[in-house]
Amino acid sequence: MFEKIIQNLKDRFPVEKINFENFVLKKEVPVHKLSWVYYLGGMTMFCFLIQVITGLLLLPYYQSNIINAYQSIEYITYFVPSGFLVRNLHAWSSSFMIFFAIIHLFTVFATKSYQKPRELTWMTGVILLIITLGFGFTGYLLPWNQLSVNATKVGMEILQSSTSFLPGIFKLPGEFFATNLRGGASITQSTLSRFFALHVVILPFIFLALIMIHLFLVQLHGMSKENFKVQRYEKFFPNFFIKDIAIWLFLFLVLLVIAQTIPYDSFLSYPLKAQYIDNSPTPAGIKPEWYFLFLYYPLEVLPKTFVIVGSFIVFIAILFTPIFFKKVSIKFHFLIVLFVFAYLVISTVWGGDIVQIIRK
Amino acid sequence: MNRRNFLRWLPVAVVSFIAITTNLLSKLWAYILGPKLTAEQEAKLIEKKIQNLERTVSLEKLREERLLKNKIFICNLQDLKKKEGVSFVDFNLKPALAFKGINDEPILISSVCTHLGCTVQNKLNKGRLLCPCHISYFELETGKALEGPAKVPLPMVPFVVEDEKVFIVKNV
Repeated sequence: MFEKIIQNLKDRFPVEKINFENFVLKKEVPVHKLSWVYYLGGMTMFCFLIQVITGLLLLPYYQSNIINAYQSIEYITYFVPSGFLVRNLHAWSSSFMIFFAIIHLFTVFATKSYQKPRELTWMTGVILLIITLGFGFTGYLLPWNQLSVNATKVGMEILQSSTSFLPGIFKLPGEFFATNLRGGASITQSTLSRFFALHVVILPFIFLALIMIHLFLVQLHGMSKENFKVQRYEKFFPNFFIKDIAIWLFLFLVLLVIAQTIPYDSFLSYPLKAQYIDNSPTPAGIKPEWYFLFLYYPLEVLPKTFVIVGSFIVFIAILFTPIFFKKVSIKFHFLIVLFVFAYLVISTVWGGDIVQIIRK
Repeated sequence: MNRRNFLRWLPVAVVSFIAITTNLLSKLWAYILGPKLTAEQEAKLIEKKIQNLERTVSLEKLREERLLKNKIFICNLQDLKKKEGVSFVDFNLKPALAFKGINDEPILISSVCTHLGCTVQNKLNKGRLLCPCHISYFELETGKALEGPAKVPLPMVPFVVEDEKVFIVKNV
C-alpha cells in the first residue's frame, strides 16, 4: 500500500530527470501533423505575461474607490499618453488568454494527452482556467460603470442563490460566499476593494503558484506523444524555442494592432459605459463578458437549479477527466469536443436570439 | 529555409523589430511620465471629482439617517404621479419607487428585481413595472410578478401619510 503510493508519486514527479542535459541540451519535441497544439499553452501564457505587464502599468493610475474609479479610467483613456493602448491591450489580451486557454483544454482533451502520468498537469490546468475566469469576473467590476456594476450584481445574485435549493444547512454556502465577497448585502465600496484585492494580489499569487507547478510538470514529462503519429523529433533549443518566440511576437503584433484600432468597449451602447450611480435605473443590455454567456443564457430560460447542478457536474467531470474518461476511446473524446465546441459557439454567438425565440 | 533566404530576410526582420521596439519604448516612457494637462483640463477634472464627492456625501447622509431614524420623509403626496415613480431608498439602502395608485392612495414598492437584483425602471411600461435586465414585468398594485423570469413579487415598502406627506417607517 505504502509502496504503491510512493511508486505513484515517483511516476508523477520523476525528479531524477532534472538536470541540464535533460532540460536543455537533449530536450526534444515530437513533430507530427498536429504539432501546432504544442504552442497553445505557450500562447495562453504569453497573454498572461501581457496581462501582468499592462496590469502593472495600469496600477499607478487606477484608483480603487467608488468615488474616483470611473474617473481614473477616463483619465487613463483620454489623458495619459498611450493610456488607451495599455487599457485596450489589457482588455483584449484577457479575451485572447481565455480563448487560447479554452482551445488548449479542448486539444489536450481531444488527443487524450492528460493520461498517466499527466493527470496533475491537467488538473492544475483546469484550476488555472477557473482562476482566469475569476480574473475576468473581478476585473469586470473595476471600471465601475453601469455595465460592470450591474453585471456583477447579477453574478453575485446567481452565486447567492446557487445553493438555495439544498436542504437545511447546505443552503448556507452560497449566501455566505456572496455576502462575504460583496462585503455586505449589496455592491458597495467593500465589494470594489475586495474585487481589486482579488484581481491584483490574491488571484495572481495563486495563479503564479499553480502555473509554476503546471510548467514544472510539463517540463518533467515532456510533450505528450502517446496518441500522435510521431514523424520525427526536433530539438527544443533552439528549433522549437525560436518558433515559440516567433509565434508570440506575431501574437503580440496582432494584439497591438487590435488594441490600437478597436476600443474594447466599442461594442457597447453609451448608457452601459456611463458612470455607475447608486440607485439609478438599470439600462437595458446588461450582459456578462462573452466567455460567461454559455452559462448565462441557459440561466435565463432553464430552471436555475437545473443549470447550477448541471454546471457543477460538468465542472467535476472536467476536473477529474483523467479518472472518469480513462477508458473512453479517443473517437468519443473527439465527438465530445465537437459537441461541446458547437454548444459554446452557438450559445455565445446566437444565445441572445435563441432566448428571445424561446420567450415568445 | 536556406541560408540565402535567411540572409535576405534578416535585415527586414531586424529593422522592423527595432522600429516597433523603439516606438513601444517611447510610448511606454510617455505613459510612465504621465500627461501634462492645461489649467482648463485640470479644472474640468476637478469639477467632475467634486460632483462625485458631493454625490457620495449625500449617500452617506442617507445611510446615517437610516441608522438613526425610524421614520423618514420621502415626498409630498401631491408630487406622486401615476405613471412615473419617485425614486427613493428604503431602510436597507435599496432603491424603491413611490407611485400614485387607485383612489390616489400612494404605492411604495421596492425596485430591486426579485430575479437577479437589477433596478426596475421608474416609468411604467403599459401599466406595469419593467425590469430591463431580463424583461420581467410586475403588477404595480401588488408587486406580483406577471411575466418573465422573476417569480417572487416585489415587496411593498411600509409607509405612513401625515399632513399630506409620505414617510417610510422602519419594519419593527
